[in-house]
Amino acid sequence: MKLTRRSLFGWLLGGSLIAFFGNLLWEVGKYLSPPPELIARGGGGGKQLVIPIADLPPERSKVVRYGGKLVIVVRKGNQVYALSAVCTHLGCIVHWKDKGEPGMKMGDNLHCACHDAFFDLKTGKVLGGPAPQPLQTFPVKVTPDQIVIGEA
Amino acid sequence: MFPEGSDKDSREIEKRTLIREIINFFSLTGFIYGPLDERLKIREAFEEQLKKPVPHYRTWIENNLLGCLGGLSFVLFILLLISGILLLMYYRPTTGEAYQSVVEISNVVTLGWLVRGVHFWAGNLMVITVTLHLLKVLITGAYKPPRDFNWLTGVILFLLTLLFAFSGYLLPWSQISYWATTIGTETFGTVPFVGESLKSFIRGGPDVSQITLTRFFALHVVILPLIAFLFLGLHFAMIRRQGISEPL
Repeated sequence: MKLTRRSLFGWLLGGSLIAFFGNLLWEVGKYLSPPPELIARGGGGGKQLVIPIADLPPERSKVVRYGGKLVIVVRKGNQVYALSAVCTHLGCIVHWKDKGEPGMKMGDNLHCACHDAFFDLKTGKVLGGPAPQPLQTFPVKVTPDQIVIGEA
Repeated sequence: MFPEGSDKDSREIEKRTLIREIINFFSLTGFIYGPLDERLKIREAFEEQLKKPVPHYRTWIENNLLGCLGGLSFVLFILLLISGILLLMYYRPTTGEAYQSVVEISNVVTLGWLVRGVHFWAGNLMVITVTLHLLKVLITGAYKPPRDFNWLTGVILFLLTLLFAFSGYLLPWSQISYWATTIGTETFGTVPFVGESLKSFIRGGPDVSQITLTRFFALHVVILPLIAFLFLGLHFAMIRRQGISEPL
């Protein structure tokens, strides 16, 4: 193609317009991508997550965000367990038999309501259902007034 | 000279203007637009739109200040539409989180301060430009027949603008917006006989609460925009049909 004055100005105009609107789209994309402060909201910034013991009464469970992941913390008697709350089958959130919740077929284990997968509360091992892998477990330390998840 | 209906010949003798050059540039380079034009005649329709007659104003004030107020309002409306959609991506309309989400938009989100600032200032300025537009049409008598029905749609658009501003003011759920809405809705209580029930109907309860925030949010982002689009369409269609009124 022969470069004429007309086509040169055509390219310059087109290039400027593409640069202008491309930059505009880029800035809108920057606005739309969630900032790290918002992603990390709800804890999980540090290595350890501290939950006041009053927030988790005995025989109850709680799903928290720790290290960017959802973790289910279960207080059974005097023992506290922390496991990944994301079912390894298709990513639903597992639950535990909280007080007053009937219909758990397999005792005190973790259950995924989506496709009936069961996990061992202590080890995260698969006890039944379609889940291909066990749930990840996290170390827990219990002090008289705090539950600490993770190691320092 | 040329037989009627021979588009190709008449197009060849069209005068070359800057606008036409720009249209030609896009129709030549646009690989989607090019083949579409043969079927849809977009170029013809676009050129038709550009042949909009403009009144011959005599003074600079008429031309540059008073003649542009309607268009300026529409530009601000488009700005509000775009920045409003962007704000919706982070805003959370609950009493617990509304204020926090607005603070996040301003302080945490990349360029969020700009988006919120544009929405805030465009909203305030639009009330001013729409009011001045209305006053200009009123004082110059441009509302007279045959444009009386367009004046009516204009007044409705003016009221819609005020409702937009009023409902948007509550959404940050700050002290000033809470009390301003309390006072604003309190005035409905002074209507004889039906005042109290009208007030609680607007608030969705005895006082300004979560329901009020939900209702004002729905009003601000769904109901009012739909009504505004309808009346803007009517307003512009009538302007194109009847032309802008010429100064005396």
